[in-house]
Amino acid sequence: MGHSSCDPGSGRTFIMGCCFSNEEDELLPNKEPNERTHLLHNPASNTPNRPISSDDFANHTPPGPKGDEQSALNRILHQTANNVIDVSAIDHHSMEQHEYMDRARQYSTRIAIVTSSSGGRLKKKTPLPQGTATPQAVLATDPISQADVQLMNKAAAYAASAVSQVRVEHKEDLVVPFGIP
Amino acid sequence: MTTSPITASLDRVPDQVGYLVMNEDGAVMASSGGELENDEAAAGVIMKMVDVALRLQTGTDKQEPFKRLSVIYDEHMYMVTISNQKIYVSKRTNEHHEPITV
Repeated sequence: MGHSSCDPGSGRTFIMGCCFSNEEDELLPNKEPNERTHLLHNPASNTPNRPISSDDFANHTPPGPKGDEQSALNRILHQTANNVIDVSAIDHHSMEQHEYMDRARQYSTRIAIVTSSSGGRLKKKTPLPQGTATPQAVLATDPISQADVQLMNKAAAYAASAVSQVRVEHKEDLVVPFGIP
Repeated sequence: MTTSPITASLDRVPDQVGYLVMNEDGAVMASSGGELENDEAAAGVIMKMVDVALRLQTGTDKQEPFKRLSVIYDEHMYMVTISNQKIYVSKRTNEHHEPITV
């Protein structure tokens, strides 16, 4: 029955893994599911080092003549299980207290290095210079000449037109086949 | 409102239609008048412009800041300068507003 879930169209690796573990289950028939057995024991199956146990899917309904219906149900179960990520089953790397402390210390030193090397610019904007002693005189002087304004406008227009003409020229293929024998 | 000699002389800027003085945080100080009277929005925009302009490096001397920042429109213009940790802004009409040909 386990093999029936490997029908064409469901050739995903997860299904294949379940087929394999179903064979295992036949070798260990004393594993009987009870009411406390998790229905989705290892649903994400993204931990290949852990044995995949999908016995819950197969064994808690008696194998009968309703094979097609059973495989369809199994497929639904597998698909549902594929969509569930069991966080507890992924990686059991628990951090110790001193690891937390180490990392906190490491991060704070990194931050101190970054902020000191940038000269505090992250926190405060540029300080004002001393400037002129007679602001009213600076403000009262004649504005820049119209010719200068036109010169700047012209230069900016030239620059804009030059930038707009930048093109990517196709020379050779970006994708190069590797020399696989 | 106390009027310092400098802000009093700000009134004598030719073609001026408004002025304001703000501190280094961009807050409009008590001295503002005309079209720019208590114009917090304009002050905020000009403050950002000043901040950007101060980051520009002229190449010859990194320490030399701009003397006057001019924002010129066809009809009017903003003149900005810095003195004694304050930013002085004067809005003036643009006398020569013939169309600019590019």
